[in-house]
Amino acid sequence: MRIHVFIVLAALLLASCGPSATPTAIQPQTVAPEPAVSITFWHGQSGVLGDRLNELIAKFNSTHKVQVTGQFQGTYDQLYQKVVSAIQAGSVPDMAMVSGPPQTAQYLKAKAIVPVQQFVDSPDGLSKDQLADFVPALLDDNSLPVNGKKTLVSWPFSKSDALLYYNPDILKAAGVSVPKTWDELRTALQTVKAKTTATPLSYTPDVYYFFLPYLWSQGGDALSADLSKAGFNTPQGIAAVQYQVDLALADKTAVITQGFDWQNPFAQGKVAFAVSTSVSRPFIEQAMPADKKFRVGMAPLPAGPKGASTDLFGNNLVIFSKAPADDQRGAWLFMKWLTETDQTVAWSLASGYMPLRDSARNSTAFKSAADQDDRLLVAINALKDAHGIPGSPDWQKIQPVLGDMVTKALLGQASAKDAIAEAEKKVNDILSGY
Amino acid sequence: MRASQRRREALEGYLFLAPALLIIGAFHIWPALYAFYMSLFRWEILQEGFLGIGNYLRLVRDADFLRSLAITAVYVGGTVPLEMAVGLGLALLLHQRLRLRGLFRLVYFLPYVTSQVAVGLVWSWVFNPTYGVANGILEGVGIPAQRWLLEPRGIVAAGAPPSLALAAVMLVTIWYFVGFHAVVFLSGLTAIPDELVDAARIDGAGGFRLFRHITFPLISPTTYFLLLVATIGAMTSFNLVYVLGGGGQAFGCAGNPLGTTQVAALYVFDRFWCQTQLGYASAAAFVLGLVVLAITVANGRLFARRVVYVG
Repeated sequence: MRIHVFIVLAALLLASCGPSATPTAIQPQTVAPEPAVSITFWHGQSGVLGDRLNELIAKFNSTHKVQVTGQFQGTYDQLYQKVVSAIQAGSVPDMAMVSGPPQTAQYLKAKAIVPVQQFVDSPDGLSKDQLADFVPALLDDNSLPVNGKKTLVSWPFSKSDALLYYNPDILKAAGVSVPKTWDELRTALQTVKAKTTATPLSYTPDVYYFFLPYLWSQGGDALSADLSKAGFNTPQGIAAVQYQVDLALADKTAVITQGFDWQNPFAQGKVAFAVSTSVSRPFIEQAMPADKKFRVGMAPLPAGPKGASTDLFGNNLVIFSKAPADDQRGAWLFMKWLTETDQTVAWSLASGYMPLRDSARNSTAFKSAADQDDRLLVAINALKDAHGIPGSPDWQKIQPVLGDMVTKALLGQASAKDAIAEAEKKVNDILSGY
Repeated sequence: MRASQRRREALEGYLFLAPALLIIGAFHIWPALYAFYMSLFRWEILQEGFLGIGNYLRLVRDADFLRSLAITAVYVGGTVPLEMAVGLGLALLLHQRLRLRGLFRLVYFLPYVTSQVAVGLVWSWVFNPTYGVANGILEGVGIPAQRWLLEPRGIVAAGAPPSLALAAVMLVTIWYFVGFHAVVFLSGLTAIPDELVDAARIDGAGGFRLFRHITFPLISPTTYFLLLVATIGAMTSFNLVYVLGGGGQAFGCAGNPLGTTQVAALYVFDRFWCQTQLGYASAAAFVLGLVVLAITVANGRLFARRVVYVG
């Protein structure tokens, strides 16, 4: 015992001597030496993106004592299932990707993760200025209430948002300009239908691509502010469903697809408008026939009375509470490095995900890329209007209810009002526990 | 001396059984017991409060669970008799002296040796409302295109199972399993002693009467075996329904559209993996297991007596 105390004292003494060599203006607190630990990192990035991520990991490993091993675990769903199983078995990795706030909230509720805030505030952390460099919507997306206080629980990494895709050739043929509001979009679809043979809109009526952005743009929200009740049985919620019903059933300007089935017809130049995330572009371009290439148009989602709105996709990073303290610290150092300006620029240009920080956006590498292709900026400019998916641990249960609500209305099985009322009841049942 | 010898023999017996017991114990019995344990708790990501039979009481009132049982019943009732009947018909045809008989057997058996996931993916292209072959054929004969796997409306009555989506899944299921039934029936047919058939023919039986009084009773062990295996298989069927019933939502989980293809096994999967209600899903799995057991016992009671064994 006495020896331990002695070692701690000695370490403190050494540590307090150490930083005198480094300028204290940058690191006001003492920084312990980097631990030589190996970190396991479960991720869901395969193919080209997996290769790019591995390159980044190798680069980190070659310059750090912390050694990271990236392990691909399948799609986000599979990754989630493996993490849930790992939590059951008590053998979690040190860090992992999560696909959004609801999963983070679940892990947090199960006390399986440590809020990243404690590392951000630590001597290894970020200064106020450094933190202010991050896009606020992304920090919000990674914050949840802990003991009633807004706390960073996860850390942003690969982020994208929902956008409006269009085929400029069809728009030109129909004499339509890129719609800026939902009303303009409806009119544009009608014009395309009247003047061309193209499908005006092809989309999968997923809650994320249409219902939520529309709802937010009307000033509505899916859940109450404290996430304890359904919040969508409002005129705005009904409008968000009715709008889709109008397109699909009244105007017959929307073709409803499943999954990513809209992508091929769009790539073949048969569809005027589609809604998807900013990372869909390379997939669309890949699917284009060689003799019929066109420049994929990208625009922010149309605005409502309360402005435009979009939702955040992609993934964030979490650190598990079962990992030893040194491993947690190592994981944080890796995360921090991964989102430094140079790396976020490299990752963004390689992947199509958005740069996470203003400094990245203003870097020469990114600016010159954006000069060559201004579409890079569309998703980034939309970020100021981005919402995270509601950070309720029960969202996994709520989302299919909302999906069924939209589907029912679109099939004409229920009016928008009835579908919403039914879903509201189910959501409130879920949120009140069982 | 004798007793010790017997004990030794028993020990040897258990030793030979041990590998199988170990595997069954580790991968079937232990998980089943553990699932039962989990079903007694509120268990989301982690074990929470003890509920006793609370989860089971909730299941009885859960409209979605009851719907999944009804859908399972429709699925079993709509696939098992049909695939057995068609399989038997094919077996009778293949039992004739046909040219290329071996080839036909191979062709009918082929779906069964293909991965269900691959089969599901191919058929989901066939049924794709935008570019699928199914709609191409319908349009060719002047019938309006259908939304197939995306269509929750019932084919008999609007709100009642099976939905068109489930009917499409059932069609694929029948297609997939017919070859298996045909091949097993065929082996049953070859086992019928020739002298019985000859004797019946001499007595003047032929065609349907031969089938009714000789063939059908004598393949009854095969029929009974297939009935049991197919019923249990259909009641716990997962892969095909899961792949084909992804329907509609990019982020949806299992049993779309509008839950109309959510058979009981998919309900369990959905509650376990998609909604992370581990304890509740375990209770549902346990109830499903009991239902399967009850129906298997009932099958035995009803049909085992009618099975005729020869030779």
